[in-house]
Amino acid sequence: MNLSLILCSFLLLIPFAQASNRAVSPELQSIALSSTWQKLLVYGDNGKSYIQSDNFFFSEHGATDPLAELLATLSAFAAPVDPSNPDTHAQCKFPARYQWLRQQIAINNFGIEELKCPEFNQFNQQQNVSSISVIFATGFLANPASYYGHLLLKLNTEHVQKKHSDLQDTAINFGADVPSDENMALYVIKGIIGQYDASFTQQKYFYHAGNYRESELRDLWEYELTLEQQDINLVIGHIWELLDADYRYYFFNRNCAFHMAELLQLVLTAKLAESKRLWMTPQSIMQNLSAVEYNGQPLVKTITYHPSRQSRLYQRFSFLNKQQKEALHSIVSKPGELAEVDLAAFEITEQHEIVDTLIDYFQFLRKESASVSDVNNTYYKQAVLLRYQLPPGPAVVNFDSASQPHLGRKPSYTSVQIVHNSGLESYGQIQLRPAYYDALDATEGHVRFSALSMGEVMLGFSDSRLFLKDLSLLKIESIRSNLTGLPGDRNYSWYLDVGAAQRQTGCVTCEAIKVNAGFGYGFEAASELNVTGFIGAGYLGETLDSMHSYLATKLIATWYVTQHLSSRLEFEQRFYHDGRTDLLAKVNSRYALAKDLDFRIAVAKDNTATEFSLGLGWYW
Amino acid sequence: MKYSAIAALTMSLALCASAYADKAPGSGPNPFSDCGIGAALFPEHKVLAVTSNIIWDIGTTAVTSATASPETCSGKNVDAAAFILNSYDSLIEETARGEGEHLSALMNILEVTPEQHAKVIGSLRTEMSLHIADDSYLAADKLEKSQHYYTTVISAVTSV
Repeated sequence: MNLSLILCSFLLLIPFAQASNRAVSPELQSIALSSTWQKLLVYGDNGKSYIQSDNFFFSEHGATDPLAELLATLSAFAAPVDPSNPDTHAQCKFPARYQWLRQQIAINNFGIEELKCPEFNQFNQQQNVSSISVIFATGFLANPASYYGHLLLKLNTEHVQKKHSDLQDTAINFGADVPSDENMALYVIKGIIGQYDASFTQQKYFYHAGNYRESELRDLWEYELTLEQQDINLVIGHIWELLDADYRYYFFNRNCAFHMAELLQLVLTAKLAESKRLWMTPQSIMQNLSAVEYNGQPLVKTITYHPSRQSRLYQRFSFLNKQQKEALHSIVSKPGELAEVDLAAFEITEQHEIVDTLIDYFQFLRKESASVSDVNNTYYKQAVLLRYQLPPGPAVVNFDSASQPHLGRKPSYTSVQIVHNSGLESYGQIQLRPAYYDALDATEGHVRFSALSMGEVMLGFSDSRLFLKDLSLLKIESIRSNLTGLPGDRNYSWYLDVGAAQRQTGCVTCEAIKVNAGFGYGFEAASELNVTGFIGAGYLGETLDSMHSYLATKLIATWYVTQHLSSRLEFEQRFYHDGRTDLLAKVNSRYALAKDLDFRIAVAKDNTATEFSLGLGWYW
Repeated sequence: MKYSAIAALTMSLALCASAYADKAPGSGPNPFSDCGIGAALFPEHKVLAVTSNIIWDIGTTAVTSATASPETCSGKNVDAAAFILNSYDSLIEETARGEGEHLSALMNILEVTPEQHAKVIGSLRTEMSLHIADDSYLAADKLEKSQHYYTTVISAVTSV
């Protein structure tokens, strides 16, 4: 920037500097206090911006003073442009602020002349966005950051004019910036206590679709929003502003769900995310989205299901008729003869259906990186070749799922229970689970038969005392079924439970540290009935003594009897290091009285006592 | 973040510019070999900061095709190469079927008119069935397979 530009900038700043020293017009004061201006500055309810980057603000006090930032922004908008690099000008870096302020005030009166911004215009025109979708990726129990699912925005290009595919659309992601070699445990801890920066990023949607659907086997749900073009443009401009801005990431409540909701709230009057909540899940945002109106009509226009490779395999398999399934079983029982498979007894479309299921099956089984050392890579290749040998034809399956995430219950759970214990007097019990689900209420948007909770606490109380019954800092049961009955359909399962618990069912003063982990196999014994066996190890004791460690075998049967009724039977045999053994048996049943209300009955027995409980719980 | 993508592209274009000078006019560069797209998508040293939820995503340094000039690495060809690399399995399966959302997207990226789809896909299907049947296919890595698919589809598009 040459000397004349600097001088001009200085002269143009003088009126604004003076303005800040004298009474600011009521019009500007009103704008500074408006919710939209403060949303553009990404202010929280505490009057402070979530943005950490200094270059997001023109005023030194912009992160906390909306009026100072407004005056400084107007000043920056009026500053002369560097003709050789217009994209660095304030108008080009903050197009949403410019677009919105232009609608609020006569910006010409502030010496502001509209500029052309090549980079932003290219971004904007390249997108040519006609609508915006919110993409919900179902939970993924192999990655702590994705336990609760994930949200993306998809900027939908005008398909009719551009003959464009959804896969080519741009997706906007929000996530913590984590070093690629970060230790997983450190990653969790630092994520919880806010040690990572986070940012919005843009990428073609096909990268995300491939990663989620093909690699992580997660279903995607697309909720297309009804937004007017003017509001779409404002959101696009704001995304551009945010792509270089750093946030502070907190795993529980300043995560992708919260900040995606904040971004959309720029053009909404209803609140999608409550900032005072201690935890925020993507599913709760989807529920709020579905309940919100925009210009007198539902905000969500359409809902589309994009199944994962695993879901496609299961659905393709379920659509096969008996003869097709028999042929499929016959083929996979002798995969070495795949090259000689003869399906001539079937119609061409039936042959397509069998081979497409085979392709999904071997794709699901194979470990691609193992190359020739994994024989499933060979089988996959031969299955694909079978399809090439048939006449071309589509895979005619209408993939569908009733498990729309917004239909699910609310994520947090509280229950009040009455307990009768054979070794104690009867007492009351309160259970609080901040999020997310257990095997009996794993429904829409959750991993079936599985459990995931953090910070779940159960307190007992009687006339004389209040005691800790159970505390799970982290509890995961990742249960897989072999839905197809085909060999190798991944059915390995695992569990982890860390926290504190009473050492015996018949004791209320035996608080002990608990750590349980195990690995096992599950299968679908009948429709909606999963049976899983585990071998595990654990620790349950008041002191750090090896006598409290144990090996365990566990058998769990979970049955979704009806849409409202579910039951679970659990046996666990523990073999302690000091020679003790303990047999634990539990039966739990749940009946959903309403979407956010349930009734539960449970029986638990160990060597010391039998306990019976009745509970009424509600989701919030 | 957008600057990292631009930086990656700039690097790939720098590679491309020198390679392209040796090509016959009109032949065009191959984004895999000439534009460095393989290196761009499989960097030896991953970027220090990746977004937490796409740790396993190969596309963290994806190329933004809009910045590629037609004279060097054509935008649509770079787009097509990146798309093929990321969607290879879906593409070979859909090529066998003769249709599908990924195949349709690839035709769009390469600006193949709907009237030409059947011919391009038919040619692609014939060639890919021979290639996959070859004994050496399994030993090839994803990058090599993608490059072959790219070359085949470009050839099919050019011949219609």
